[in-house]
Amino acid sequence: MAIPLKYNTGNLAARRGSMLLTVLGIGVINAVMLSMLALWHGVQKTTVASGSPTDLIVMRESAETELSSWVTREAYEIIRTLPGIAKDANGQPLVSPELVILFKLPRRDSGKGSNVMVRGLTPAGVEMRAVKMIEGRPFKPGTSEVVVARRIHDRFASTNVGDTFHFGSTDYRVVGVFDAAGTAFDSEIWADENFLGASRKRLAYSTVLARPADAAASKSIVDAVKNDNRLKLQVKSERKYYEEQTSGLFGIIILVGFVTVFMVVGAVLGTMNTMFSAVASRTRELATMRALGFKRRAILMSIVIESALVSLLGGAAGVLLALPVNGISTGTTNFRTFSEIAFNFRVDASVALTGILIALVAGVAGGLLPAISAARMPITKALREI
Amino acid sequence: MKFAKLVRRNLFRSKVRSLLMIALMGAIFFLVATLIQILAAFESLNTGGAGDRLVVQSAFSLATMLPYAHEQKIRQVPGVVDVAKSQWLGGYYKERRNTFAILSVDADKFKTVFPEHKLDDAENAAFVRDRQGAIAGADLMKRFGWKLGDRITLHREIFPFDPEVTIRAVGHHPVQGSILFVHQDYLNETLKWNRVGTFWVKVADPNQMAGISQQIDAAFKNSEDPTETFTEKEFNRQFVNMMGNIKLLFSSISLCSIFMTVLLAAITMSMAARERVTEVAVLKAIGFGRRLILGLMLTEFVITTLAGFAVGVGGAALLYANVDVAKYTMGYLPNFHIAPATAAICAAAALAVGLVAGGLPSMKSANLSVVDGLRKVV
Repeated sequence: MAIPLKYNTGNLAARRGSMLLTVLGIGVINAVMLSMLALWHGVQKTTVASGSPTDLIVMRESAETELSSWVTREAYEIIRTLPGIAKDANGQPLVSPELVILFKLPRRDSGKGSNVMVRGLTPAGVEMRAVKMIEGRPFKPGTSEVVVARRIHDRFASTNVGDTFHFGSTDYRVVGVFDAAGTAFDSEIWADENFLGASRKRLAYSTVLARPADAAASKSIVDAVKNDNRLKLQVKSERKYYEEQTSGLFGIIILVGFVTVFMVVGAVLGTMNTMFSAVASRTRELATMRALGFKRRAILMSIVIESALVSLLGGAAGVLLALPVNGISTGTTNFRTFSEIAFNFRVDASVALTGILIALVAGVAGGLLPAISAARMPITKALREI
Repeated sequence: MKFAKLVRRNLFRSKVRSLLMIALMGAIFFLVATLIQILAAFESLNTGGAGDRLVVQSAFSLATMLPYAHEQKIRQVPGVVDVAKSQWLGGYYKERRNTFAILSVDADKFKTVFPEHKLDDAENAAFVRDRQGAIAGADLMKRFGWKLGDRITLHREIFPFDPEVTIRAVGHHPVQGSILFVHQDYLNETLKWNRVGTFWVKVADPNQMAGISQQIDAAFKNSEDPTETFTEKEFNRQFVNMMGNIKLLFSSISLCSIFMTVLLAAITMSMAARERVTEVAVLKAIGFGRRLILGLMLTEFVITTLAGFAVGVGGAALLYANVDVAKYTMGYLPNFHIAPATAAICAAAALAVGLVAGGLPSMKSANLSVVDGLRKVV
């Protein structure tokens, strides 16, 4: 017969003080771990989730980033007329030649310069990226107008609607702020392709983004570009490109993994510690239950369940403690592109659930050894103990 | 000292509990020591750099290159001793995880502008002679088992060609042992661009650096390629700033971890104090004073936390002394090891954890009334 759950809850209530300390301790471990997961989640959102899985990005053969890529105007003409490319409502092919340049602009807080990615787009390119204008209006083609992403607007000086900022020998006028839902485009400024190319004296494009009509068309476009020896270009899906960009943020990946591992170890050892104490302080009690006829297995289960309960409470406390971290915006530099990339800590349901699940597993793992030692206790010896 | 045995026996009273406590503290201090040390490594980037060098880069961004023609004008600025062009190439050797700093540099200027690499004169001459020669840092030579005269191919990162070079000289820089230089001319002949990322300017008098950097920037202010001139220290600081606010992130993690150990240690220690109430009452009855009891218990707790510190920080020190961390971080954190200062900070933290977490239970025991203690059934 199993020991009723009430025994465990009663025990937790009786040892209120040390139970609360344990819950708080595990809560703090969990909060740190959740913050790490939240950071990682935020990074994933700005990288992997940025690219469309179907749109194709065409780049120079050996280029690893848009910044080090170039595609000639002749090559663009070839790509534009390839069969299988989707058309917009007006029958124009959905192909976007893009120019990507780094601008060094002063930050709002320190006034120090930091690199921002500026993307020159044609109307087709803007149409292919579904972003929401939250202030002002889109830029007019052929002018010095630009729109800035909200995160750039928050972090960089002179990026309010109506402001003008200077770069090189050109003034750029901010006419709108857009929200790209936390993707990489949220760290960019968008300008007119022709104006940007002319003012920075660029003759070639950086990349070409193409939308295939369907999966079969996608394959034929990839093959066509690959097999055309004049082009010397590579094609991959936009999503794959952004996935690869994550390697420029490897520092964060290592940090997140490293800290998470230690937090899990801490949670396991911490639970183990309290559970050993909990078992030790009621040796006689447990022995009495054995004498009454409860099986070893029942004792074992009971202690593991108690441990899991404590950890669950700790996990929940961790989620509460980590909630204030949600939404904090921070930035770092992608060392592949040397450009500023902003992201948010994101504590959402999936992160919280993962955290509680890990806490639960750590609780069961940490409770196992004390439970075994409790179940193995010889009844006579344990009863004699004071 | 005559109570050493008492403390020792109490420490081993519950072996599992003490060991778990030490293991937990060890894990947390391993983490904290590592984080502090990484921060320290970034800080050293911050303060590193020769005091007599300026770096000229494009005012637009580090990724924008400057024309070769700028060099002549920079040389004309009074106080400039020598100028070397240099370009970051990136890339790796054989596999991506063998990523290290690869730069091109004006070979004939290297020794004057970068004397801290301590090149052997004969080796330097051999490097200058061979257009496809390379200088490899001592750490790289050791890591890949290279010898002078070895021919290696580097994998491209930024520029569309794979440099093929022969190692002609070994660099003995005190910190930057994982850096490889190739000829600027080799890069430029392959690319035919006549543009370069940075000019490294050696000045005669470090006190005039500010004036010289203003003069350089003024010379190109109205050109198509305006410049921004930094001292080498400022230039290096850019990269630290680029990483964002890691200081806040790392210290938050460390503080939270230590706070957590205080909580868990407090549970363990109050448990340890509670189960010997009778014993303490007996000690008091035979004449042990309050202070002595407080001292004995605190000693015991602090020994536990310090043992945890020793396991964690000692383990970290041992691990980093024997494992080349740079191999797993794509060349970052070269020569990573736990510095004495880091160990000292962690020791202080361990001491504090012991005192804070053990303070209340010890005080409770010390203030116990003999009658109550003897009556209590635990």
